[in-house]
This record gives sequence, structure tokens and C-alpha cells, in this order.
Amino acid sequence: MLKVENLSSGYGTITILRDVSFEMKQGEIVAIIGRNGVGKSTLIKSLIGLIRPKSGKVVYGDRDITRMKPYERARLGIGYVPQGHGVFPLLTVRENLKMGEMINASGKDKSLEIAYDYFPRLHERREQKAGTLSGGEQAMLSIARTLIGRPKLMMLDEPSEGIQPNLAFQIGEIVKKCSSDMGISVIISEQHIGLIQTCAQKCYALDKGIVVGELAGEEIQDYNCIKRYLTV
Amino acid sequence: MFSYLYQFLDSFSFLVLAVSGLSIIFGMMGIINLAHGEFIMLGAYAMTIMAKASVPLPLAIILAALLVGLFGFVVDKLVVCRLYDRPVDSVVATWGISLLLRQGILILLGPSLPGLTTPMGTFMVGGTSYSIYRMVLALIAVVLLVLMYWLFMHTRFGLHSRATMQNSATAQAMGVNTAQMYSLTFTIGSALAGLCGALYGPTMTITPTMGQAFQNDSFVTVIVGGANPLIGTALSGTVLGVIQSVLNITMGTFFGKMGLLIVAIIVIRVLPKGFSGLVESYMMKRKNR
Repeated sequence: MLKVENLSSGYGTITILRDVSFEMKQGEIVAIIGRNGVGKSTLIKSLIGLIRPKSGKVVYGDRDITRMKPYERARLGIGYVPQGHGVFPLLTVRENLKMGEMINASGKDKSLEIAYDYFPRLHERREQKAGTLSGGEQAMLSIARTLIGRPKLMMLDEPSEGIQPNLAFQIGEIVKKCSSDMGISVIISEQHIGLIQTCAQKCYALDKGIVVGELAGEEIQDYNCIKRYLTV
Repeated sequence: MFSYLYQFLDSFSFLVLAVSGLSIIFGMMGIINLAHGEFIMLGAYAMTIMAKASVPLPLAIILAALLVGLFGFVVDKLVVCRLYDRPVDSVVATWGISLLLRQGILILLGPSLPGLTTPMGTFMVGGTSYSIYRMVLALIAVVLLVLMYWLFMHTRFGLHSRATMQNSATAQAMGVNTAQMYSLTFTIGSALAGLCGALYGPTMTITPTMGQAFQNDSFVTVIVGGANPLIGTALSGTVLGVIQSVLNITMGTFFGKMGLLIVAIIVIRVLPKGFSGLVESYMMKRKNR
């Protein structure tokens, strides 16, 4: 479903990611793990197109999307949950959710009900400005907004950032449920071990912009095994 | 008493009509269009030339607005679209455009164009005569504010533009073609500038530098209003309208102009984000209700 080949990317003249390659299958949940500053966000932003790759290739389905603009990728069914949640603070919760409809490529059921089913809290707060929500609620709104577009691939950039630790597990559960309910493939960049263990089926560890490790199945559940990629 | 109301409505409509194009472009794109006054001037020229070719006035006004909108679209495609993420450079570029337009019109059409007479005549209140046309302008200003409210709060375009304004990267990742939104915004803003020029054309002398009168007042209104094209325009149009009309009547138009500039200086000091900043922070505080 997604194939990344020798991707190099960065800001201006600075290269952050070097020759990153990986591949994922339909319905899979892949975690990109690593400490702060190793290139997790750069990778996600290169995949959605907010950063233009310097070299390499991104193939989505059977299309080369390396040079596509973010809104074109979004309309192909790639959903993006930005770092720090990226809600539109002065739009109401409902308006934020309406924004998610745009990426609905398949024209499938666009109703906001999917979002309210997963996150009843958002229904209670639908007329409230998104900027007044708590960190955890903003994280949920951001995920819900992407789900409404019925993406085929959902990418989350550190969803646990700025929320209570116990909510991080809940996000992991939700991601897992969405993926299995709707057959969505997921890429999640994270350093919260609990969240990773709750949902990830495969992990790629980044360090200094290079893929330094690959974990699957049992290895992910092994605390010490995963921890060495996340501690300084 | 009526003369105060009349003066207020006159100032209010002048400020609102002059500023709406500028504030949409500034609020949405963060671009300060220094050619705004010249776009207004173009609207006045286009309207006058058409009206003299015996196009009915309302039609001439609408066509002039559309023409300036089209012109804005071309300017965006040729120049401004290269500067979306370079707001400071865009100031220089649009300043250059303003010089080109002002001198270009001077060379092509001379130092002034014989104007039209103000249509619709006058009405009397308490022994003083007032212009009907200026009251119609006030009505148009109110209608414009209502239309803008509808456009920004109740249409898809409005939702997408507000999202783009708040976080353009995320809006793009949500599928919004932000470059297209900016181009459309610049076109609409230009058309509104053209509309302003066309509406005020019959009330003033048409010269290549006439835009400056609008430019100064509209920049003050944007500064006082802040980045939100809706809240900013309505609130600062009202407040500045009151201040200007009171000063105009009690101390003369010179102090009216001065008053606006002094208010702008005070507002920058006290409310750096203008009225929009004030209203937005109030909305954020009205939490959990």
C-alpha cells in the first residue's frame, strides 16, 4: 500500500532524513519510533507533502506521489493528524470536523456521526471553539477529523504529545479499533512506549535520520528491546 | 442631531467600503497590499469611463468591480503568488505596482478625468440638505458586511478560508488547495477595492492619485480592526466612524483625519492585534459553557 524508497528530506540546505526505505501492507499499523529530533516528524511531513523530498520516492498504491502537493495526497485518501493536534482553534468542534470531509475520496458516508460514535465527548462540545478544549480532547478531535474523511492511510505525528499519560493508552486503543473496523492502514510516530505497544504491529526505529532498527510482534512487547531506541 | 447620524453613516460607509478588500487580503494571506488605493482608483476610472459611454450607472459600478477583480487575478498570477510566504517582499512588490498604476494612468489619461455629478439629488432635514446617494452608500456598506458574514460563516469557501487563515499547513493536509484559496481571495479583495472606487467615483474628482485618500483611512481601519476581516471591519468601521464624525462636526475634517491616526497609534500600543485580537481572546475565555 505504501512504499518509501531511499527517501532523503530536510529543511532548506539541511538534510535530516537520509535514505529511509520501508514498506507497509494494507491494514497494517506501523510505528516510527525514536527520540526527539531523529526525524520522525520530518518523515511524516515528507509523506503528506508538507516537506518536499530531496531525493527518493514515495509510492502509494501504484502511484508515485513524491512530487504531489499535500492537498492532492489528502484527496487520494491519506489522512494526517499533525503534531500538537493542529486543530483550528477558532473554528468550532463541528466546523473542524467538517474540514475533514474534504479528503473523502470515495464519497462514502460523510456524516459526522462516525466521529461522534468514537468520541461522544466531541458531540457534547460540538458548538465550542476547538481552542478551548483540553489537550486530550484536541487530540481526539484531530483524530476524529481525519477519520471523517474515511482515509485509506492515516498518519499520526506524536498524538500523545501534550496529553495525560493515561489518555495515551486510550489513543492507542482507538487507533487499533479504527484500523480493524475500517481497514485503515496507520503510520504513527511516537515515543510513548505504552501507546506503541498497544497498537503497533511493526516498528521502524529512527536515529539521526537513518532507520536503525526494525521490530515486529514479540519484540515490540519486549519493554527493554523497544526502550533502547527511545532513551538517551 | 441628524447631522451627527449622517456624518457617522458617511464615515462608516467610507471606512467599511474602503477597507473590506484590504482586510480580506491581509487577514487571509497576511499580505499588505500597498496597491490597494490604486485598485480603488482603477475602479473609479473604469466606472467613470463606462458611465460616460452611457452605460447605466449601477451596471457600470458592477462591471468596474468585476474588471478590477479580474485585474487583481492577473496581478496575483504574475506577481503576488510568488510572494505568498514572503509578506515583507510583497509590500515592496505591491508598492511597485501602485507606482506603475498611478504613473501609467497619468501618462495614458492625463492628470484628471472630468467626473460625474453625484446622482439621486438631496433630501432636507431641519433646513439642511443631505445627499441621498451617500445614504445609499451606507446601506450598501451594511449589505456588504452582511454578505461577508454569510460568505465567511455559512459557505464552504468561508470555512476553508477561515481554516487556511488559522493554519494553512493543516488546511492543505485536509485537502484544501491553499494556493487556489489565496488566488481567489486576492481576486475578491481586488474586486471589493474596485467596487469602492466605482461607488465613490461619482462623488469626487477622478485623478490618478485619488486612491491615496482611501489608502490612508483603510490602513488605519485595518490596524485598528486587526486580522479578522469580519470582526475587524465591522467594529473598527463603527468605532472610527463615531470618532471621525464627532471630530468632523465639532472641530473640522482636519481633526477628523488626525483623530483616526491618533486612535491608530493608541490601539497599536494597547491592542497590538486590534479589535479582532480582543474579540478572539474573549471567545477563547468563554470556555466550557
